Amino acid sequence: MTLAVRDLSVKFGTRVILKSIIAKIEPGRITVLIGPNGAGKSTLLSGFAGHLADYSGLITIDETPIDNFTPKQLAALRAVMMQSDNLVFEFSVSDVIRMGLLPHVTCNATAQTEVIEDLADRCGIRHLLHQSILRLSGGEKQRVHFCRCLIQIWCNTGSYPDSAQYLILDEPTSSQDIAGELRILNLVKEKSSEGVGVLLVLHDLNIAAHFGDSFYLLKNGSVFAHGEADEVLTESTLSNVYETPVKIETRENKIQINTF
Amino acid sequence: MQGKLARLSLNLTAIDSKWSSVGLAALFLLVLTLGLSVGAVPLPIWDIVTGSADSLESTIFTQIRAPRVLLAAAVGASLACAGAVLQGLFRNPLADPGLIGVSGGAALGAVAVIVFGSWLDIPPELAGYTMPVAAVFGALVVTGILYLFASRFGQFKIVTVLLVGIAINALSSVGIGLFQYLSDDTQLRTLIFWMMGSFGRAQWSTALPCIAMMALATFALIGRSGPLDKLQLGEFEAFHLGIDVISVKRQVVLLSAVCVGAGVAVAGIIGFVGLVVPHIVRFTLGVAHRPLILGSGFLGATLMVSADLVARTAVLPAEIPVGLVTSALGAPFFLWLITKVAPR
Repeated sequence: MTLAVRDLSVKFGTRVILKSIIAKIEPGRITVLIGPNGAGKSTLLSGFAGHLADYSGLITIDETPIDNFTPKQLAALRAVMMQSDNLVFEFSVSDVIRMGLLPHVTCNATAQTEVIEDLADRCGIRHLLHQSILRLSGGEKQRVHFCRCLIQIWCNTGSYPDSAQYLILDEPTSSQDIAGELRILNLVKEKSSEGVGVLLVLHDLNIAAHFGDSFYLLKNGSVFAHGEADEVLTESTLSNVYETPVKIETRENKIQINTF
Repeated sequence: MQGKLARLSLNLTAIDSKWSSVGLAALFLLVLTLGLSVGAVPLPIWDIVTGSADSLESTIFTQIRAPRVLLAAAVGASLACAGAVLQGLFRNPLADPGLIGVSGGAALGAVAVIVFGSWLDIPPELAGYTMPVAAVFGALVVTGILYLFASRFGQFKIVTVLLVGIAINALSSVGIGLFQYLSDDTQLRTLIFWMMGSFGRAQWSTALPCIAMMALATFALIGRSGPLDKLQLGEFEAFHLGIDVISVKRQVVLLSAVCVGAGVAVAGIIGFVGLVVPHIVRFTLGVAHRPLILGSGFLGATLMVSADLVARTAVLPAEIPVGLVTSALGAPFFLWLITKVAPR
């Protein structure tokens, strides 16, 4: 069971964004996309999410092309968190989280309310449930959308029992303080240990090293290196890709990546 | 403890919005009764219902007052619902049915019939239908053009729809201006009065098909409220939540075009109802589309019946165009809204 892309190439006009990418997300593992700005991380994430309008190559879930799935089927299989925030009307935080509940949810109304309150608590937004989303800070909004994505796969286990579920997150901690970052990534880790396949786009290499199981390092639209931490997160590879001297120390089996 | 309090407040808002919707429905019934009984000839509504009214009163009621008031209610409801839905579709609090150019297209169709209708050889029994048909046709052509432009770029981009709408509005004003220049004195007078909006010529034969179209389109729009809520998160986000975004947008644009086109056909361009009403409803019933569209229907109908009541009783025996009344109410609201929305 995998969510995979094979020979994925994307062009916007004449500009090549992705060149023959081969990559996969596996259930129970956290796959991390890293790379410099403009390397194509978000575009590759869009490919996995299934909303790339124009591409060549193959995107598959369990060997079935992703275009063969209806939007509803996809929604039961994967949740996606983007970086944009488009809300202009005063929905309450709990309204927004409830949008993650799909029409064919497998838990009943009481269970839903309990799950929402529990997850909101763990995301640190329970005290905000009845506030307007428009009055929240950027970090709080981000946690609300993260909570919505969690609800989407939380309440849908069992819709397709033969298939794994996936959580696809584009820089989910970009506006978080250190506590918020840990809250989010610990929840991600928990879901992954329950068998959810996770794709994370991250910029903080230390956080990536700590939470990731496997890594794809992108440069100029190609996979420069992929594999486990010790194969990808090396001084020579990172210094080359980021064009910045990088020092790596290993202390008590933990990788520490320094740029100065 | 906190959880209990939160749940209590959630229940309170639920009760609140339930009473608000009952209140809106009651207000509508009250204004409807008022609209049916007050006018140049006061009609005792109870006598008409029980059949004890004289034949003149009955005739005025069934042939003049009832079609006029019901048509006003239907146009108000459908313009307000179209406004609510278009604001949601464009994620833009300033959106109005006129914005995407549908009102302009419908108006151009209707004006063409006012000026050139006599050239066509239309049998007299169908003459009453030509203008509504032309206006709906104009609205649909505009929707088609909008759709072609927007879908050429793969994704149905909302900004494109808005920009194309501005261009189409400009083009239809050119067309209407040209028709005004070509028209004779009588036609010009009809044209200007029609453009200001009026329910004065309401009769069952022309009103009923339009009412049916508007009602069907409005109910179909209520059925799209769940997807419209999710669309507020963004188009990709709605797709990730299982919404077939392209087909929902297609349906919503088409249905709102029918709402607006049919309304313009029977009553001319009546501005600002589609802008003002949804905002007032959001204050009381919240922003979710199901209560929003339903509430906008009731409040839009209430507002239009009241505006028409003012229009036909303020300067008896003359009549003010109803579009002037709604614009006089709506334009200051629009300015206030700009000051509220702009700094964000």
